[in-house]
Amino acid sequence: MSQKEPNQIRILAPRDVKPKLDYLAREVQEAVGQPISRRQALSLGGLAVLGLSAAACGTASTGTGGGGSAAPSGSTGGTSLAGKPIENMLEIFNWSEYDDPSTYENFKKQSEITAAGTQIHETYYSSNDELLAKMNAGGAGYDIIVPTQNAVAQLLQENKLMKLDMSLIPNISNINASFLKTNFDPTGEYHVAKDFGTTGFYYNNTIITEKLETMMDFYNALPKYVSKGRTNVLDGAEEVVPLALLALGLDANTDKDEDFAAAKDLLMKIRPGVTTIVASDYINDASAGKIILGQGWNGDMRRIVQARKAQGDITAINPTGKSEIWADSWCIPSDAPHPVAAHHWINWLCTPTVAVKEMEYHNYPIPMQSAIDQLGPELKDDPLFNVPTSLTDNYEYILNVSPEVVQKRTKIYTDFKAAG
Amino acid sequence: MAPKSNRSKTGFTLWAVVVFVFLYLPIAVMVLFAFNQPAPEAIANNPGISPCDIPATQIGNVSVWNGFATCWFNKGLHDPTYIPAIITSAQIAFIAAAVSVILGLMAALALARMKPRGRIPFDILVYLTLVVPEIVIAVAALIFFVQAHNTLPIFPKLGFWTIVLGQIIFNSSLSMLIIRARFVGMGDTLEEASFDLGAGPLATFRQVTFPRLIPAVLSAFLLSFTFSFDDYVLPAFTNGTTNTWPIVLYSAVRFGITPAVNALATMMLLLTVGVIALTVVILRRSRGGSTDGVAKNFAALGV
Repeated sequence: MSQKEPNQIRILAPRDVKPKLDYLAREVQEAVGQPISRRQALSLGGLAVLGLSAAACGTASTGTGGGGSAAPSGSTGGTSLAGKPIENMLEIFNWSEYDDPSTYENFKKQSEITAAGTQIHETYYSSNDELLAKMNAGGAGYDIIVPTQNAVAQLLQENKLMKLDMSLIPNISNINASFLKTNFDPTGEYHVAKDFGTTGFYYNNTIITEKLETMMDFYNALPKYVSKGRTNVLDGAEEVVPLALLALGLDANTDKDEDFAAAKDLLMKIRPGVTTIVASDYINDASAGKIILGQGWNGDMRRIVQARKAQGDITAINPTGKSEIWADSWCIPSDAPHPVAAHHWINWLCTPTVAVKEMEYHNYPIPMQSAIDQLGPELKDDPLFNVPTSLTDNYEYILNVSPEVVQKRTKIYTDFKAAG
Repeated sequence: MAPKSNRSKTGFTLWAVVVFVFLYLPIAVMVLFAFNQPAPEAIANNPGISPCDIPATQIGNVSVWNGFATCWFNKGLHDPTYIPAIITSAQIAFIAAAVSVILGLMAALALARMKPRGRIPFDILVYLTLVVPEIVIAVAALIFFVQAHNTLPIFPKLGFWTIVLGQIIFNSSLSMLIIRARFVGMGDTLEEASFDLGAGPLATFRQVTFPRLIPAVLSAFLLSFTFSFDDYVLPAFTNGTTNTWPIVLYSAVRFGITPAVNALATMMLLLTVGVIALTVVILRRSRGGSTDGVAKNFAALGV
């Protein structure tokens, strides 16, 4: 292996598991000892590659589409499912605790589902990489998966997703238009948004009295206030560098060297103002009032603000201008054994009454205005939950566009961490 | 001289206490936090429902002490995901351990009495499964299982039985080593005596060899069971649509593990302690009150 590049895996959550998976990925790669394409080695940590190579040599499938499994309708895509009967089974592959129990019960109570006798079975996974590895190995038989944007992009590239038959998902009209076509699914035909989150920042308003509005304001405030207490930025190469790019108003997924140079300049300039770089357990410290200025995800910041309600000393900001947005999506694998039931499931989740229950359960916003309008004021009127569309329209999804980009991000990130 | 020996005695006692605290404090904390409440803001946000019915995504920070609640035990016992997963894990662990012990026992008897030339290749195979990182076996198993099912439809689909098969690979090697160590240590004098007295090979195995191997067999079974019950890596690759307990727990990390998990773990702990206590009592009875035998048996079990 002449190429020595850091084996970064893109993970959105849970962060604690990341180093472990990085390690596992390296182990596999070394153990396999066979040439692995850089892109896949980087993004899938080698696990998926094994599955791919097995699929390729095992079934000797012709062409590129379909992978190892039979791919009944995936590669052809447009096959209409309309008029086909609903299957009696639905296999969901999901994060655990991610959906309201009533969603499953009420889905089965619909007359057409009762008539079809559809049973739901759910299996759980703990990272997008695990999902990708299993999808690449094939043979698992899932009907519904819940990938984060990066995983959607990769599955799409590998022809692992079924083109959705929108005639079976009429309720998609409820989803806000800006969540239909995205940079990870440009045609919007392969995913339906499940929920989303954004990145912003929070500060102690007794110490910082000036108004901070943009991500750039946040970075500029770091060196100014570091003498007053602990400051924190979110950890990870896929956070540190793209967030700096966004603060500069640049493309988060850029591959231009001059953009990276600008981001590096900014990061190095503010490095003395950064006390800690953590992404996993800043909630607890911030809730205890130990952080005076930090970046955070909207759901986490919501918890922090609630925990500091009595003191009222934390202000959390959804930045104006550019920032990060992430989203989990409903997708159907191209080899799903029960595609009609899967479409009905997605359509069910696009129903406003269901979305209301879901949001009350998991507290992540679903991009569905009609559902958000029905929520209680504690969610609807909280900008940390109901992040205004006028803001999210400026936010960008961070993707692992190419191994070169990942490598450049990692290089700057490593320097940033080592400095200071 | 008395004060000095007293002092060293206190020193040793203190040291013992420190060691026990180090070993058992985490477990004590785990048990304590089975009685924890959701974060205060979570309770405030969810008025009118039991604290334990607050969704996991909303319960906030439960790694600090928020107050006393006992409802997690009930919640855990009625969890629609956790309980089936625990049962599945227990079933997998039991079947895998039982099969592994039988395979391990047969292999141990054969290998221990083999000529080195024949034994060495088998030895290498056995050690290989223990030395090769589990993740490699897991990936290999995944590829193999998928392809096996594609070519031979009677081969089980990814799921319960592929997890069991994966576990047996590792556990049978482990069982073999444990049982063989005991078997070699026993020597063959009693078996020869048995043959001299006219017993055939089967009778000798039943009456002489096997009874003396029971502690090793039991210990191999228990170790295999424990390994399989909480194994994550192999099942994570080969589970298909089957949830095991560790897989469910790992997945729960993203949206927060509730004290219901602690409650279930506490109950499993009590169950284990109960089974061990029961075993001690039974062994003591069967030995006619001789604690010596019990001690020996437990030493052999590694308890």
